[in-house]
Amino acid sequence: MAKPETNPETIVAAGMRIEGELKSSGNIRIDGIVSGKIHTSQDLMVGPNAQIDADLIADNAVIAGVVKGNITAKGSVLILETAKILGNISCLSLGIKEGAYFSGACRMNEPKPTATNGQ
Amino acid sequence: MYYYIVDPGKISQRDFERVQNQLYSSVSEYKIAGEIARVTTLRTIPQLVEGALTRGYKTIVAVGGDDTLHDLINAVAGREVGIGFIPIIASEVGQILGLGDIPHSAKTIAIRRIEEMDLIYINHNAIITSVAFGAGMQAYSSIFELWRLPTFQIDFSADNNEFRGTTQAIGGVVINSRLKKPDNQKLFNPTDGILDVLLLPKLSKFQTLKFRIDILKGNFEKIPGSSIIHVRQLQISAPEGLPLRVSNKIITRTPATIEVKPKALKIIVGKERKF
Repeated sequence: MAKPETNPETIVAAGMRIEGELKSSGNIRIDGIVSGKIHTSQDLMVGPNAQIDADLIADNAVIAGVVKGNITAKGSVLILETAKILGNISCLSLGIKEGAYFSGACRMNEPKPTATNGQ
Repeated sequence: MYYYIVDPGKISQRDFERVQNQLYSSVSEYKIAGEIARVTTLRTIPQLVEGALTRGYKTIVAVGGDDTLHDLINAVAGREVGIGFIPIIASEVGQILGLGDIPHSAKTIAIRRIEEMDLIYINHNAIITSVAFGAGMQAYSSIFELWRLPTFQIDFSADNNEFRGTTQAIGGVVINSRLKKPDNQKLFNPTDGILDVLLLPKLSKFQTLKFRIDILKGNFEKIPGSSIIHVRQLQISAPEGLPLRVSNKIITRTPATIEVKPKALKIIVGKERKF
């Protein structure tokens, strides 16, 4: 499960507004307003005051703010109690804390079978 | 053969004679002798560089401060020539490149390990390090001055309009390379083709006092509430007329385009280089 406090390389702090496609190869933390698309090959943390109107693609995601858009994660998605999500989620594992709002469909991906010796 | 451009800058005549003697003995000791030219008001760095290139020199060495090296880089402007640096005053670039005093720098030039580094272009001015605006990386007379720093709304677009942003800030820094590395080692790498943009919001009086050293040094990544984004190109459209500073010197004003040219500089570095 993704940790809420990983060391972010990209930070959109409170008060910043971004429009367009935000791409990173490192961890991203969003506390501001983003519309468009967010794409990272690592972890994404959406803070409790963040407002996102965008599709999110990440390795793992922790959501504590408002997200209007689809969330696609290779690994886990953790929805914290302050989160409000209007969109679909695709992930390997999902955690939802009591009090969170989630309106959408969820598609759980099958874990890839691990190769064994001799096969 | 080496061509040395010696820029006495603001050092006194007495100190300059000492520097010159050290330079002559060091280039002789490490067998990297060549033509030595001194910058004067009548012989500027671009003029000296043109003369050196016409005469076929393949390596030009700036002897002076960070400004001397930046002037040399701009004068060379993408032509096929190796660049060396011998700092004669305190130099951030010298430390980034792993250079020490004159004998150490001369020895480094003799070993001739050449690295390719990214350059920042700010409205066609090339630099190695960083460009600052608003608060940060400049001296303040008192904490009261820091408390009174004005907030401005900064509007920008990045990577040829891939995304646009706006925020209230009191300062910002666009960094290609910096001497002090943060805990996050991926930042401020001058060989990754990426510029790191740090934007500092208005802080409370207590936070300003607490983080005053980091504000002065432009270490905004250590200050909670700062934004960090990564771009290849940044266009600052507003506010208009905001001074952009390199090493405390205003080089242009907004609106401005700041972009990275990956591996645009071939420069001799020491083994203690910081990247």
